[in-house]
Amino acid sequence: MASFASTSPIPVATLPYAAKARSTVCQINGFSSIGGPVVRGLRIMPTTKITKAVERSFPVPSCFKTTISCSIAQPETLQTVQSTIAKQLSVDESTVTPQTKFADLGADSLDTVEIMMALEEKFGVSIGEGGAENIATVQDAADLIEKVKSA
Amino acid sequence: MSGVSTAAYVARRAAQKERVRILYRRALKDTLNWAVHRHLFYQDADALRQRFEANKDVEDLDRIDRLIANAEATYNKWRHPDPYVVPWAPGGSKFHRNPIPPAGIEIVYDYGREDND
Repeated sequence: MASFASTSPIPVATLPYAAKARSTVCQINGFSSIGGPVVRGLRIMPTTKITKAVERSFPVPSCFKTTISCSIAQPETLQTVQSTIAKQLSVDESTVTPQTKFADLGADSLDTVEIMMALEEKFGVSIGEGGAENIATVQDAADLIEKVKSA
Repeated sequence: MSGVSTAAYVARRAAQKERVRILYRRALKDTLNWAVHRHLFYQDADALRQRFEANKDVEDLDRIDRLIANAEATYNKWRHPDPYVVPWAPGGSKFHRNPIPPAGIEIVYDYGREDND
């Protein structure tokens, strides 16, 4: 039993991040041939192994998030952003295209702040104070909303 | 010499713009904290905007700095003690309440049915 416990971390470490419990079970099968006598009541071993795998796979979410944050806004998000901006500035919605700059729509910096606040309320998200700093076009605003939504 | 002073002027002006932008954003959010209904909020927001617009054309840099400092002091004085926070945002009541498990982790309901016995 003692030798069994000492060898157990090795296969856990070799588990790939996307390992499923099925492969853990296979490792156990390999054990019964390598590690000699199998003690009765070892069935709980898969559970503990899975939790160890969970701890080891914690670096995954961070790189996962960085890939998502580069995403381009979904069409429906862009549509909602456009209609909200058109309503906020009292302009026709057809004049608000993704490439339109806020300055071209006659909005100054304070109007931009109001637009971003309206968008935050519309989507129920919270943009940090520095977040809206470099927003110049409608597409920028939609991308920022998409990023905050998926974060 | 004039090039240096122009650059300094532009930098100071940009810093002031940023301060005003952040101040307006905070003040507008705070207005919504105090005026919880839309028909109250719209009037208060309009009044706030007018207070910002009143000093739109000021050119003197030192005077702008003084105005911003005054406005920030006023904002700090009237800050809401219990501001609204989006539930999912940091500080919100649902922040990290049910985090999504990391990718690659799933539950396999095979307890007692493992194929190793």
